[in-house]
Amino acid sequence: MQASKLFCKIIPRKFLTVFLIYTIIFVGLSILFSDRGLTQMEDVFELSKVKISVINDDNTQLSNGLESYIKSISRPVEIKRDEESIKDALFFRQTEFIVTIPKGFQNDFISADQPKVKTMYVPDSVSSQYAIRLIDNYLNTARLYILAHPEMSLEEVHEKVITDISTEVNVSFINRFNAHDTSLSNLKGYFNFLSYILIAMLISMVGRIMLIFNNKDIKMRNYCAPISIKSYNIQLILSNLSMALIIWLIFVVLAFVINKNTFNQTGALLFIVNSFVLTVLCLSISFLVATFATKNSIDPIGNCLSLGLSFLGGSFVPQALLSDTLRTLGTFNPIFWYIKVNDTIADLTSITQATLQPIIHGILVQLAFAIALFAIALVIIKQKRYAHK
Amino acid sequence: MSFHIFKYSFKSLIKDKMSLFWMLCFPLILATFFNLAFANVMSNEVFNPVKIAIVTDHTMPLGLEKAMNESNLFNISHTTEAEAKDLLSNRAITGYIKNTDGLELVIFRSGLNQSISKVFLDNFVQISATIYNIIDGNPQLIQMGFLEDISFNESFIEEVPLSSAMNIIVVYYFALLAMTCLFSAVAGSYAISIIQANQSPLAARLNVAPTHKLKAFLSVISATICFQFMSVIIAITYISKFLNVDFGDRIIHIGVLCLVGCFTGTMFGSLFGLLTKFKSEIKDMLVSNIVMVMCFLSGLMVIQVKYFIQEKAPIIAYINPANLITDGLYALYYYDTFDRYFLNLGLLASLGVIFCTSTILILRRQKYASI
Repeated sequence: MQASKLFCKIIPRKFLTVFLIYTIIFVGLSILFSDRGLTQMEDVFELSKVKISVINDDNTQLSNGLESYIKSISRPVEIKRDEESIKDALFFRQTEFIVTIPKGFQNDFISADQPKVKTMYVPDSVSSQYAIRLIDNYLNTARLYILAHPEMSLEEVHEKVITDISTEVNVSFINRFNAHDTSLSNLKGYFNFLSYILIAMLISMVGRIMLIFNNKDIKMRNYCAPISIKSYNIQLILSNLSMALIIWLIFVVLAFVINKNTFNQTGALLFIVNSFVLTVLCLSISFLVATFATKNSIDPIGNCLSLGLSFLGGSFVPQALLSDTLRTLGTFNPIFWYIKVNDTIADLTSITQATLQPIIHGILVQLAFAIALFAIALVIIKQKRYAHK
Repeated sequence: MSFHIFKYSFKSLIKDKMSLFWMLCFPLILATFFNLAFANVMSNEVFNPVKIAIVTDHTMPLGLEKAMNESNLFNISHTTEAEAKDLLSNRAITGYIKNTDGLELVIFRSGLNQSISKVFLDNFVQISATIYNIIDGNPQLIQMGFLEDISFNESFIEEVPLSSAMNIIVVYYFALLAMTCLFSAVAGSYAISIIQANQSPLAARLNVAPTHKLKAFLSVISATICFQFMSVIIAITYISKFLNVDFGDRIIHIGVLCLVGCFTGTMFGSLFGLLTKFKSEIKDMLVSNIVMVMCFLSGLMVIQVKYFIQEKAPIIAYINPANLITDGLYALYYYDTFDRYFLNLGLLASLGVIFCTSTILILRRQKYASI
């Protein structure tokens, strides 16, 4: 057990800080992601409520009615009124649609002029089409009532319009049990992002530890110790594996601490399984990297690999938004498969053999990658050993 | 002598593989990743007709399809319900409409396209309700021909034109350039270790030479800034020419801002190196991590962080060099006026000058009786 013991001694001395830094950054980011609703890319897909800001200069019955209607059906965003704040808010998509109801709007509206509300929005965007429709709907209906019943008070008109507008068609979801559930998609976000952290962290930790063990002098010393090379290697591999497992376990627990009340959900277990496979995969990658990296090159290689694999695999940008070329290339990227499985889990409608099949397939592909990379690493290690002689 | 030190510092920077990687290659690699990953993001914001299927099992309300066609919002197909379900499961369509007991929209998940379809159908049902209500209250209206000359599709919207430069993705590249500029902090902190005689043998040698310490320091620093500015220029060229990211045409202004950014970054690194006493390895790690945190706060990883900080904690935004660079570039790109750009440039330069003077003041009288 000497090798394992040595391993255990090295870890706290050299890598506790690395581990802590990564964990703190990751947890901070995850909390930011899930709480602040900063996952804008995802929003475009998930949320039907457009972020609309209303600036009401008119302050009359009609304009107030319109404002309250817009606010009830969208996600109202308060913004400061100076031009710079408005422009910034639009650019960073803090709000997607700004409506200014000009002074005198109600008077013009009743006197059958053609009053217009002023709008600013991101050109050609989907959300603006939606917002325009909402506003026109309200005003068209209001105008009808005013034309038909000129004697009616505007308050009454507003009420009538609201009752009419609240007539809705039925919407049903095609056999899905978590259609309105955002917690699962939060969990998906967490696990998708985990891929980046795991690769970066494992390459940094496993890679460096293996570099210590691979030091030529230390290796020669160790090989002449009364312990078989086989047992020595197995101890090393097992120690690495157990370290990776501990890290994995910590992150899994954190997942459910951050996203409360998600543990008992159907997909949660599948996420855990998938992230376990990812851990094994990352371990193989780090093993491979450690065979050829040097002390100076391990950081650059680790950074490029972790950023590259996760960027191109869709950890940061949802896979649906990636270009076709990238999605084709993704077949050769193990992380791409990991994310794909996560996405499938989040969209799972029911657990049957047919729905589980793509998940199992994705997991098997990841395992195949892990085994292949590990085998290559072993071959290189063996080659190097002979080279030393 | 100054030029001599300058020349050799520059040469050693170019020959140092680590600095070449971090200062030159890493930004380029990251830019390439950004480009690959975000290539499609913006196109998704553009509106495409919603693909929707009409189930042919029951007859649809009169006029619905005509209205849908006229709206130019939809791309309609006709299928049976079973087929529509298949299409929907494969996300080939956004949803389908059936009419068993009243209109019903079936979708897979909520989203904007789904909402547009729903609002359109709602609208259709609502207009029927409205007309019914109006006629109910005043039946003579029909005889008066009221229904003939009303319109439901009048537009009350007037669009205020906005700058066409609305591509939010460029902020990632701006933050990336900020990172490239500020990575010179690592070299800046290294520069200190070859000036302070108690930090490296090379510095001890340099200190016994008859060169004024300030001169030597400034030569090393200018070599660093030159090297860093060179890699910024390479990065800008690569991003704008090879990756075809549109930075706008104020290239000189961008250059000036980046040069000042390199200066501030280097001085920040030297001040940090001067104030802390760690092993060089730990120092490098700390400096580069601090730079990364600054870049994170300016939106390198998540763009909205920049806006969030700007709104909630403007003070942090104004003392964070990475944000000043990013914001300056953003102001150049998005605004027609230069006010905000110059504000950022000024703040950045003053930060640099503050770092620089404090460094020189601390460094000035240091003498070593023994090491």
